[in-house]
Formats: sequence, structure tokens, C-alpha cells
Amino acid sequence: MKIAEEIYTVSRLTRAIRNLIEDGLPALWVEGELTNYTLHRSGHRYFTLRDPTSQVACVMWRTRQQPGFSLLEGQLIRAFGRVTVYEQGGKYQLDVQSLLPAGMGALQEALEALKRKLAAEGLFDVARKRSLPAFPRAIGIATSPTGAAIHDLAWGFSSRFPPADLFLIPVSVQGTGAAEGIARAIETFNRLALVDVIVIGRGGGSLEDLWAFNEEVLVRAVANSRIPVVSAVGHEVDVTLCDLAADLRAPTPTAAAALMVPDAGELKKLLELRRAALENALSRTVSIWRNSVAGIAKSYGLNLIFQRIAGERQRLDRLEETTGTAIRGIIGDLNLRTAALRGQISALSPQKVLERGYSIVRSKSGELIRDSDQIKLTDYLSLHFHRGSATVTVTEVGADVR
Amino acid sequence: MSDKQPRDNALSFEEAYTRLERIARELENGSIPLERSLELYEEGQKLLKLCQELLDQAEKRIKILEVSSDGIQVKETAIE
Repeated sequence: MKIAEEIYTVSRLTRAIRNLIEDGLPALWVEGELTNYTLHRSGHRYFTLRDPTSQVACVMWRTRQQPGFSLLEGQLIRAFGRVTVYEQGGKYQLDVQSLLPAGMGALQEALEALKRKLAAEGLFDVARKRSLPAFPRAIGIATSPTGAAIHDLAWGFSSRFPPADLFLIPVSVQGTGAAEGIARAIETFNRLALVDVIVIGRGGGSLEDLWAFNEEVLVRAVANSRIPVVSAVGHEVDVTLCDLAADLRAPTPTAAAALMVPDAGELKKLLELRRAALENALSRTVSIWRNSVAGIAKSYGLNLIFQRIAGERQRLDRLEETTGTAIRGIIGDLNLRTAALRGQISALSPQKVLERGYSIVRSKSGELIRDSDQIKLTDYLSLHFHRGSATVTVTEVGADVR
Repeated sequence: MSDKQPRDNALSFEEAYTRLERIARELENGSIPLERSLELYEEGQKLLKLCQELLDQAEKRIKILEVSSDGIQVKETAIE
């Protein structure tokens, strides 16, 4: 046996015991029968948990989360907390952080009681539920950073629908403070307004493991969120109060991804249809325009214009023809007449006359002689022949020589 | 917040897709002017391309928000 060399004071001993207990024991769940329960005026609760052979004093401070069920003497309950030493009293006690009724029946009963209460307030009303965005721009995730759920969610979202940005607020999903942590994460997402849908969740577990998702504080946070909330807790069969309050319940985290985002592969097929629709619509528009142009071409009014144009053209052709013939006629006529005139003119020329044997007779003074009265005997007259000339003397004058 | 959003000014998938549907509807109304329908068609093709690119993003990343009393820190990490 090891013996301490020094003499301990009571305080020192008590502190040593305190250190041993507080450092040596983790936060833990204790199950026992509830006795000596008092709710003090201050709001603190004092009680004892016992089993057939032992008992432990418990204190639950006013600031702790209120139990979601009524505490009855003799009831089997589970208390979660740390063992601490109350030095002044020299006693140890369990500093209780949360309480659950023990056993499935009791837990279920508490759950049903809370469910009835919240349902009466309308928290689960279908009319409250908002629709989720068809193509979320950003998704907020509140779950454990180490569980299977985050993997299923993040992988599901990013592989199905890469355009969505993912934000995770790491929280613990079971044990003391889990419900408050998840509720705070929901509030943080609402405050930041980064995401347009939130998913909370965790993988499967016992009813106790999933208990955080049945706690009033979290159920209210889900119901109060302005951003739609999807609850993806546990397995298909597990329905929590959060599932009821959420805008959408996904049976599992993996299913949440499929319910919350479209599938990129499907979307690509849809985009191909859109592309075809665009092309069809364009070619339809073009052909509508083409037809309407053709329609106008066939229209009575335009045809009337065409007919008139054709008629005018014909008239013009005819005119051209007639005018041409007429002008040609005139020109030909003119040519003939010119030639005739030319003939006449040349026939009138004095040389031509002389050529035919006539002569021109002038007096000595150069006067043309047209009449025998102009001359008398012995006058000299000059005679001009076709070729050459002569001067002659008048030897006889008569009235008419013809 | 050191959050870096590479697509800040770009259209989101939803915006691009919604616009695309509107264009398809307008284009299907054959009585719009030919020039307008060509414009719509071209815009539609651009939006289709953007949607395809958004869907084809290979990088899978998640931003982790660490909330403390000092504020919020963002860490980005790849998804395995």
C-alpha cells in the first residue's frame, strides 16, 4: 500500500477526489429510477437516481434544456451528464445535461406527447410546407463531418448536379447539445442567406441515437427556417419530428440527393430536346416567312400588279413595234423623196440643160437674152454651149423661130 | 469571408435554363420577325452551351463553414 508522506487538509483531499472523479469519468448516460424529485423555485431540478443497490444524487440546472416529458416519481429515466464533486458538501453528484425516459415504451410515449403538442400548434401542417428550388444554386448541409451521411449527401449532390455549390456546417448529430447545434446551424444558414435549400440529417441508429431530431428546439428551428429544409434522418422506417416539420422528408441521406437536385444526365437529354426545339422553331419561323412571301406572291392584289406590269410591257413592245415601222416608213419615204428631188435638182442645173443641146445667149453687156425684142441686127451676142462658147453677129431678127 | 465564387457574375444554371425555356417559347410563336428569331436562336445556343458547361463541371468541392464567436471561417475541400 502506498502511503502519502504529507498530511492532507480536507480541502486538498476533496480537490484530489474531485480531480480523480472529474478527469477519470467521461460524460455518460446513467439509467435509474427517479426519486426525491424537486423542482426548486430557482428552476433547478434536484433528484436521485437509484437502482436496487445504489443511488446517485443528480442536479439539473435551470439553464439546461428542459426535458420534453413530465418527470414522475419511480419512473425509469436516463440522465446524460458529468459527475462533479460539490466540495462544500463533500459529495459527488451528476450534473445532468439532458434527460430521456428510459425504455422504448417511455421514449415513444414522450415522443408522442411532443408530437401531439407541436401538431396542435400547426408545425406539421402540409400548408406550411414550401416547395424546393428546382435547380438549387447552393445547398446548406448540417450534419456530422465524419459520418456516412455527409459522404452520401456531398457525393450525391456533386455527382448528380455539379452546378450546386455545397456548404457544410459541421455539427454533432447525437448526444447532448446535438439538437441545439443543428438548430443553430439552420439559423446560421438563414442569417447568411448563402444557400437556397438546407438539408439536415444523419445515418441510421436507435431511437436514442436519433433523439436529437425529435427535440423540440430543433423541430422548431426546422419549422421556423425561411429557407426550405429537408430532413434526411436514419433509415426508411425512422420518422422523426424533424421529418414531420421539414418541407420535405428524405427517407435516407442518399435519397435526399435524388430528391433535392435533378440528375445532370437527365438534364443533358432535356437540353438536347431544347436544342432540337430551338432548331425546329427557327426553321418553322423561316418557312412561315417563306410561305407568307409565297402567299403574297400568289395574292390577287400582287398578281393584279404583275398583270398590269406585264400588260404595260406588252403595250410598250407594241408601241415600240408600231413606232419602229412608222419611223422606218417615214425614213424610207424621205430617202425616196430626197433621191427624186436630187434628180429634179440636177435636171434643173444649167449644165444639164446645155448638155441637152440648149445654149445660153447673153448680150455684150452680159444680159441673158430671152426675147428677140432684146436684140437688133448687127448686135454681138455671146453664145455659151455645153462645151465652149462663140461670139456671133445678128443677121436676122424674127418673132418666133420655132 | 474569404469565400471565392468563380461564377459570381455568370448566370446560374436555373437562370440560364429558365431563360432558355422562355426563348424556346418565344421562338415557337412563329409570328415574330425573322431577324428577332435569329437573335433568339443565337442566344439560345449560347445558353445551351453554358448549361452544358455547368453540368460538365468535374470538380467536386464543398465549403465548410466553421462558426465561432469570432465569426465564420470558410474552408474549401474536395469531396472524396
